[in-house]
Amino acid sequence: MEALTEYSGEEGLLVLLVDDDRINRILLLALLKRGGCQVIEAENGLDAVELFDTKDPDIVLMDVMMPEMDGYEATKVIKSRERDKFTPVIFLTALTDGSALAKCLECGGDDFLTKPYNQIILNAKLRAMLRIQQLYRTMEAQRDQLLYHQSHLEHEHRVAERIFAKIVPTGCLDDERIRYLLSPMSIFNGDLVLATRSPSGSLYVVLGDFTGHGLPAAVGAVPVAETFYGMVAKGFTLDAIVLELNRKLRSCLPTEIFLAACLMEFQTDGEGVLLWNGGLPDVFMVRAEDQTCERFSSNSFALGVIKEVESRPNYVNCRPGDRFVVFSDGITEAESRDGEMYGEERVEALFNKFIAEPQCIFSELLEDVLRFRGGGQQSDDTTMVEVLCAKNLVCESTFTNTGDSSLKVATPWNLCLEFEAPTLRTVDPLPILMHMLGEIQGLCEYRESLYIVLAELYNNALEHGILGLDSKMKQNVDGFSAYYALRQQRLSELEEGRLRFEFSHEPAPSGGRLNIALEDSGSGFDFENKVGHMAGNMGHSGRGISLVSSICERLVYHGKGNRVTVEFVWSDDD
Amino acid sequence: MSVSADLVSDESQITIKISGRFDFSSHQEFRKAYEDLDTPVEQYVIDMAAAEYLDSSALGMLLLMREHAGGDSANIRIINCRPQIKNILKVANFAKLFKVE
Repeated sequence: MEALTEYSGEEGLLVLLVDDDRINRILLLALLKRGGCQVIEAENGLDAVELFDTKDPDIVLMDVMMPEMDGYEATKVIKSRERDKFTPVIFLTALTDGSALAKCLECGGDDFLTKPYNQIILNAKLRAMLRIQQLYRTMEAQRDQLLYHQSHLEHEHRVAERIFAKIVPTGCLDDERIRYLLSPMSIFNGDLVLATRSPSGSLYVVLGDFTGHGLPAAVGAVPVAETFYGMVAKGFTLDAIVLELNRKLRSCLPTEIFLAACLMEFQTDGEGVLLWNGGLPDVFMVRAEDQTCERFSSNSFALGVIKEVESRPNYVNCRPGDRFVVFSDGITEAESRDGEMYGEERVEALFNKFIAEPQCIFSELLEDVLRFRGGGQQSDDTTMVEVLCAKNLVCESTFTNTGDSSLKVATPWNLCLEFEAPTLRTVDPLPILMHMLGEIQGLCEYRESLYIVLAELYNNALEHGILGLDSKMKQNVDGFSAYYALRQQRLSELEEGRLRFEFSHEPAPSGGRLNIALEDSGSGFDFENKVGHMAGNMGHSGRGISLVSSICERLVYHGKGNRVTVEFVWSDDD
Repeated sequence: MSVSADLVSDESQITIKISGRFDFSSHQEFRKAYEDLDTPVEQYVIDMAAAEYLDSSALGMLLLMREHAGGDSANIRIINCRPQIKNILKVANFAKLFKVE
């Protein structure tokens, strides 16, 4: 006789044998013992339930008709008390009546054993039951493991969510001009929405949608946020930001992951928007005044796909009150129960329907998509932003939070830089100077003006003072080219020469005063006769100096004309 | 700095887009954008949306382009200027020579 220890270990199976008939019990006991089982006995259902609770048997053999509590009732109780383990109940029966047998199964029994008992059949039935029990245990272990992993993952997501909230702050999304929808777990859907203000007050907004989901997409959000916030704060233009994001994502993300995104810059006057769409569905714009709707399609690859991305944004003329709506493909690709997609036509139809009340479009679109889906939960991957064009609505909190005001408090400072020939040959000092002035004093609002002052002074000193070029050359097209060819040639061969920039800055009543002096090692020029002629001259030269004069308080040439000083005054109540 | 030119479908208008720093370093590129055209152009559009800075040599280049386009009869629009760039064009009196929008 084969033992059943393969399922129950060395101690043998623990069988609860329930029968009020003593002869039956002796008979079965002998068969079970021979099979290597341990047996506990009960004479009725009530005892059986008690033994089940206290002894925790592996399997139950149950008679049907018994005093106190019959087999049906006892089985129901036992099955209801089964905790996390499956205990097979095999009915012992002489019944041949079909409905009675069916009742055995209905009350929770798992099998029958019919009299007369037979060792081979008993063992086979026990074995079959034990196999099911084994399966059940494996399944439970796997379920427990899955539950463990799931709770572990959820915990990790919660922690990661908190970390990401710090690394990838949403910036000034609380600005009242912005409405957005971003699911709480969006970071793991690979969607992001960021907004911030540039030093000059423009509002920059980005909506991005990474291909793929989960951690890889989430990781990509970190360089995007850092680059975006960093570059906007430094006053970079939209196309420079697009190029840098593309470069960064291309170098750090695997090939199959990239970012479909829309970047927008809203001018402070509410009358102009730069918009770059790479790979997102059409951006919609509603003009409040004439109640029309425009679409801006993607005209570039998504970020991180190719080396050189088309970075030039669309310039959109607009008026305060106009609004832009950007969304991820979670809207357009929302599926109905029949597997139909929502599509851009439905989006457009909705915009047209609510064109007279554009403030409703955002919520109506969401509702409509939800209805289209046929109820159910808002899908996690629906990301959407609406920005209202407005005049100079500065989000104060951004400035106080980041401390990155464009104008730093005017402080007194001096700076002196001297460039000798070898440096002049290889270095363009203008970007360096612009960067230093920005770092020390902010002045981003005056960036263009400062640039033109420095550029004109520098180019004059270099081209006329050091390289000895004559502006008369620039009279016609060919001369213009020849002039700059000669400039390049002489500069590359420069052996002698020196340029000295001196900056001194001091606080002024409502801002500051920046004194700029530039001295070159050249022989100077007859400024007393020349400067007068240049004002208002619309020829091909001399325009630079009149520009500088118009921007600066005072422009003075000194000595033999190789030193020029200007005063640049800025105010912070602009 | 980069310059790109698009001829519109009827080929009588050309749009030249400037991005980044508009200064002498781009004069050849800029010149090529409007000189090497097979068909006569009636209207020129300079799109400054992505231009960051311009200096007096850029102003010079614009004047040369104006000469090429017929001097006083030239039809040149300068569009999408940032406020500061618009200001520079104004200071240089360019509003009289170009349609600054």
